[in-house]
Amino acid sequence: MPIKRSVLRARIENAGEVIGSLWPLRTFNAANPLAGFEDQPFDQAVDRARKLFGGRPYPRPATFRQAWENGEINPALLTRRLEAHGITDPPAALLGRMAADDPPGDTSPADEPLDRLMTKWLAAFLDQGQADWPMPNREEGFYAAWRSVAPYDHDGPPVDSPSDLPPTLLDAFENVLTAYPEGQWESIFVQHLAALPGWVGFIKWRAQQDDHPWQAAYPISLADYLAVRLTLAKRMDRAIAPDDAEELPANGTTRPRLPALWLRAWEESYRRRLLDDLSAAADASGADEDDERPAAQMVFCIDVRSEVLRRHLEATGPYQTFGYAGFFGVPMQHERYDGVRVKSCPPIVNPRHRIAERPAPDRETQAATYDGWRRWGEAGRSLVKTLKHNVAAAFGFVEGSGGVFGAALAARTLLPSALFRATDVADARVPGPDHFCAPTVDRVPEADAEGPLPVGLSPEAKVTYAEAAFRLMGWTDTFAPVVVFTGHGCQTPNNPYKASLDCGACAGNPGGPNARVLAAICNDPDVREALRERGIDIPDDTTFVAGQHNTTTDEVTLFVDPDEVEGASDTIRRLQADLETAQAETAAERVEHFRADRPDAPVDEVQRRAADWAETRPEWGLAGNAAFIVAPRRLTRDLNLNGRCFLHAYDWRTDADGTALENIMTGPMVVGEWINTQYYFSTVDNAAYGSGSKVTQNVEGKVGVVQGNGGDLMSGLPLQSLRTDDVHVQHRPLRLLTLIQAPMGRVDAILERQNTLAQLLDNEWMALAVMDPEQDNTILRYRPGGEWTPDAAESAAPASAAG
Amino acid sequence: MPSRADTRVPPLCTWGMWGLFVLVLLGVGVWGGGEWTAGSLLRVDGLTQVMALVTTFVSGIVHSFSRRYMAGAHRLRGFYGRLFGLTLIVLGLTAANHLALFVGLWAAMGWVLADLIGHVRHWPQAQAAAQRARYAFLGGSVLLAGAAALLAWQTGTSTISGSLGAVEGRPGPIAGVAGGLLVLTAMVQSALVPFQGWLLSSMTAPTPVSAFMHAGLVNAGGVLIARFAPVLFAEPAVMLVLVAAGGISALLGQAWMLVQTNVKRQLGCSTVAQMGFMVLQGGLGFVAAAVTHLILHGFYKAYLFLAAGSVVEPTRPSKRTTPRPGLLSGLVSLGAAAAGGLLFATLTGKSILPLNSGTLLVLFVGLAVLHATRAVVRRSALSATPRLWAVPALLLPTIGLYATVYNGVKGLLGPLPAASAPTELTALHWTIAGIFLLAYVALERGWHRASTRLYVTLLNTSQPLPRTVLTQRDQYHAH
Amino acid sequence: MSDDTTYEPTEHTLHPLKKIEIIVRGEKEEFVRELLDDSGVSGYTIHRDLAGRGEHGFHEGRLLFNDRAGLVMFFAVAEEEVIQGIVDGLTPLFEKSSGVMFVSDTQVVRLDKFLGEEDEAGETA
Repeated sequence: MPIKRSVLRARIENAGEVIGSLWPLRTFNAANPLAGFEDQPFDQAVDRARKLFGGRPYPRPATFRQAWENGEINPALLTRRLEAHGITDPPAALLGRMAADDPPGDTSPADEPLDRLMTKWLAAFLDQGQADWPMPNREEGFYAAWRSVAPYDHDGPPVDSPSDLPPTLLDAFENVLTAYPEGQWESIFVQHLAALPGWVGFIKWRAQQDDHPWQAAYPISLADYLAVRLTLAKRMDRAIAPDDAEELPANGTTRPRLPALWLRAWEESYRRRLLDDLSAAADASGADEDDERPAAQMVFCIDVRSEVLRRHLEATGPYQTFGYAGFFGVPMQHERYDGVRVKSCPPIVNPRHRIAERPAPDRETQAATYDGWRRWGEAGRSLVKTLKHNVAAAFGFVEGSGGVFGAALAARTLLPSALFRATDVADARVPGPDHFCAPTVDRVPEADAEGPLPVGLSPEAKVTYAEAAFRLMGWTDTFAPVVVFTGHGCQTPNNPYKASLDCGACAGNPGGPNARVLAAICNDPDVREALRERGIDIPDDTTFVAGQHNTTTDEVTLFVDPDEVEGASDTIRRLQADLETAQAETAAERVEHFRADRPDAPVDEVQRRAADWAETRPEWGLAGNAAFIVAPRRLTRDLNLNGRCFLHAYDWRTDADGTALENIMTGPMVVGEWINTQYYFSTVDNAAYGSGSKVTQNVEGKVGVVQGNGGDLMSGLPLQSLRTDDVHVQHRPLRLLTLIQAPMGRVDAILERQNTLAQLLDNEWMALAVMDPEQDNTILRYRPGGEWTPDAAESAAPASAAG
Repeated sequence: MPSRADTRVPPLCTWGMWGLFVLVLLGVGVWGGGEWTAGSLLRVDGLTQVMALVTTFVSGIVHSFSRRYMAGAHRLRGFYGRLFGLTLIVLGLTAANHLALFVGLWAAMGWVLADLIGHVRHWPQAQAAAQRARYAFLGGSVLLAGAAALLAWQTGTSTISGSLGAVEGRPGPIAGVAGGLLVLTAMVQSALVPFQGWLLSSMTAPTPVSAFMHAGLVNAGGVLIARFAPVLFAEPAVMLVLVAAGGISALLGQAWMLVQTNVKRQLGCSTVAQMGFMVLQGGLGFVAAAVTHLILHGFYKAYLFLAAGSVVEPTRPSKRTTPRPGLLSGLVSLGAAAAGGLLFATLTGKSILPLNSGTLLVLFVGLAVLHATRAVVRRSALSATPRLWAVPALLLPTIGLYATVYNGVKGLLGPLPAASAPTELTALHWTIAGIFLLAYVALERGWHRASTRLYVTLLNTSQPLPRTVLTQRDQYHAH
Repeated sequence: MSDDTTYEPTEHTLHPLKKIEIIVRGEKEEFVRELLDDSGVSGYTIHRDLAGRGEHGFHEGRLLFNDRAGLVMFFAVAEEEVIQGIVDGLTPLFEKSSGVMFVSDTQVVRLDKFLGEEDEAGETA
């Protein structure tokens, strides 16, 4: 029976939904590993995922114990929830019971030759430059390349020559699938895809990239993977279809499980406190409108790390801060000065423009100096590489260079702080592209041919992005003399997970380039004129400046020379000084969460962490994230949110039709959910959904990590990004609560239109509350199913199993 | 929270190790080259001093590095205890004079190292890797015990120095067998082909353990050769075995490296090659060169392991181009190679004419210089004049630095029997030299890429033991 | 094309063909595109900004920051057999993901434009 290609393709597409995409390390992105299950209720989804991937659904008993002993779980809330399900044992006893029920793991290593063969060839095929001699015939695609090596692979089933194997993908499927009805294909595919979720997730990601150079040169798809795997499975006499006995049991959980109840009690305890604080703040802030023009305004990424710095900066002087998505609304691909192109917008947004870094006209000598050094640096690196790998030269090279490596060992291990300062000095001597480049904000049509995206922005696009920024933030008047757009990035050497600490809204890159683009747009007189016509009146004396927040050291660099800004030089200098004060305060607050060497000198401590090659916890990234607040800053300004909240500026009064809110909810809020679920799952099961401990990680093919000797790629975050030690969590695995200050009807109408958002809420992947300013800032909670109830209702009525 | 001991032991061990390093440094500075014995048990000589200096330095680095890197890990007390203990065992090993003590420490070293490879207790793959290594080390210890027993029986003494003195210059079948067993022991310890399996399956070890293992513990094979050189060198056939075994590992290790896609196994293959080269140097009669190599390689490999997280950079697929050999660059490179070789031979006392086994070492240096020069000269992105200056600017200090270390080591090893004993060139030597030259040309021209069979064979023969590979992630319940 | 102005009156005969319209969420755009590229249609049209998204000003666009949730419409004309192949490929997809397709009769003048050849498929897209 011939197989229809189109049908096969659809079946594979459907089956592929169970695997979450896995981004390569360089552009590591936060994503829900169970994104394909979001159409199911959370409890059901985690259960099915446990059967497929062996992943734990809820936090470990030890994690609950930690929260319980820290007083993070409100006993009254917990007891009420438990009693509602007829459980009356004291919580301490329940903790013991959960620990006793916790299943022990397998102790004998599984050796499935099929999985091993697959991981061997996937690693060989998907390598992006680690091996000097890569797998042959990769340009023909994975199936064809494998077919060409299989006859020599004596680890696998005997194959005399490639012609023993089906010549094409379709033949390969036909060879296996004809024995099964079409209705069974998807379950067959699911079983084989779920066997290696790491590699499969990476293939899924790569196959969706239009202009990925490695995918273009060496194509691979889920179909390739399945064709190889099914062909091998058949020849090795392995099961093709899943056992009927192992069919997933009917849905509908019978009794609520203890961990599910504990999780909800913990979440509710946090949310209660937060909402109470916000209510109190709303009452207090009332008519407290500042009409005074601030000295400067700074826009930060919504990232939870911004909150701490913003709080400390505001305390230093007459400054106002805002939260906005860290890509500043510019869907761009960034071409670095070295020619590397990186996507610089969120995972759910496709880039529409290429913005290149080119030397500014007056900075060409700086560029030339830098180029000179860069060429020598490249020559040196390439020389080391070729000598290392050369069959005859490697030995002499090791002897000649060993002494230098010995010195470097000592310096990097014993003197990391000195190294930080040395880097600073070197950067000052030979300023990098940040100092001499400007982005191609205007259209450069003649450069379009170099890639799929137009270079630069049309005048219309500029106005759109500027207007979107101010509308979403509800910011239509009061512009200070200096307005800073502040991107963020981290600083950490020897860290494969660097991108996970950079800006998630910029696809795991620093956000400075996007900030520069928006600042340049807003300084454009034509743009200001167009904005004025649309009711956004920016005074002529306002200057927009770009900057970058180093989240590891909390230093903020402004990409501007104060002397070059007419009329605002003093303001900028003052701001720079205050930013330094804020850095010190922020660092002091943050070192409390580290096992600091030097808690007494917080700035030195964070700088050491930024330069230390042995440091596995340079900073906590987004650990702790638990809420997303969409409201004007004045609602939260007097609160210490402990770096756990995404903050998006929004003013319900300037957004009558809800357009801005709809964009916030479909954009940044969804990204927040992706980040939050990644942190949740990486924390609750660091093996199945995270990447395990850094100390035994091994970077594979420059794209991912494996644990130890190889095997399946690990996905998600490493242990050291989530836990303070092997047992205690830094990230509290709580699902995201979004609070929006806006009329409930407006929010409800948006949910009506955006049913994927409603689905996330109804299935409890996140929660939503509204502070309705038209109802005296009453807080209303969204209940799965679409009902809104006043916040207090929860404490009065016993909660349902689910909620 | 970690127990009190877990918070106290790490700094204690670290300070202790650096203290030890300082003591050794002072000791070598004051009594460098001297000898000191404690009954029949211990005998501190130049080899002990060199190895103590290097081992305490690398161990100190690994201790300090782990203070941050391993922070918060389970069982830190056990980790530091083993790391510190392992260092002491190695120090004891280099100073042991009693044959039984030497064998005992050797076995203990293997046992503790295997423990560290399996540091993550609840991870089945790590335990399988530890078990694999433990079997290898046990086997090695049995071989060593056999060699020691033969030596003691043959010479009637129980000390290393005594038996070496008795055997030196009096080859015989017993000494030959003992020499063979020693060579096998060294090959197991240094992961030479065909005993590379344990090393290539050992990436379940925490990174600092790998660094210490590749920079310190595989070197024990070299120490063994240096220590028992008189026995080995007494029998020319044994030296030829060293040359052959070393040469094969050097070649295969580098070839395996070509096809590796993960950073740690690539480093592991490189270690197999470098240890092979070190053994080859021993087989050529240059114990001091072998010891120098294992020291410098130790720094090199420790650095690369500790920096193993730094390999994530954007890359693009590149079509391989075989550069056209230009006449000028060819001449410059050949000239530089000749000059480099000459300089090396002069500074380190190797003979070019008459030809002997030292010439082979000069050849390797010449090849490295040739390759480096070609790479620099071809780099057209750099302007021409600085490019030409770069060659001597790189060459002189590099060879000079090496020569300084080499002569320092040689000075310390001085009284060691057979520190430098070049041999006649045999057909085997010529074959090894020929194979490396051929391999160099073949790789430069890309001939190897024509053979899919070769690719698959290299990939398959360098795979770790199946049970040590984590194909099902949920089995990684390490924490 | 340069010959557009020179066709003979006899070529104005209307040829019956099938038309398919497909609406899916942005995240399935790639899938549908590959399906169409592979199906043998000579070309197709994509409307990406169904919700009014684009560079045309803030209030005209709805979803500025989510390309996956936005709707994408495809439109193609071909012989019944080809359209049937596309329908076969979409039917299983819509078991799992949301989306709709409409097939209707249509007529064209220049038949050769719609009889796709494998090699040319995609070029006219």
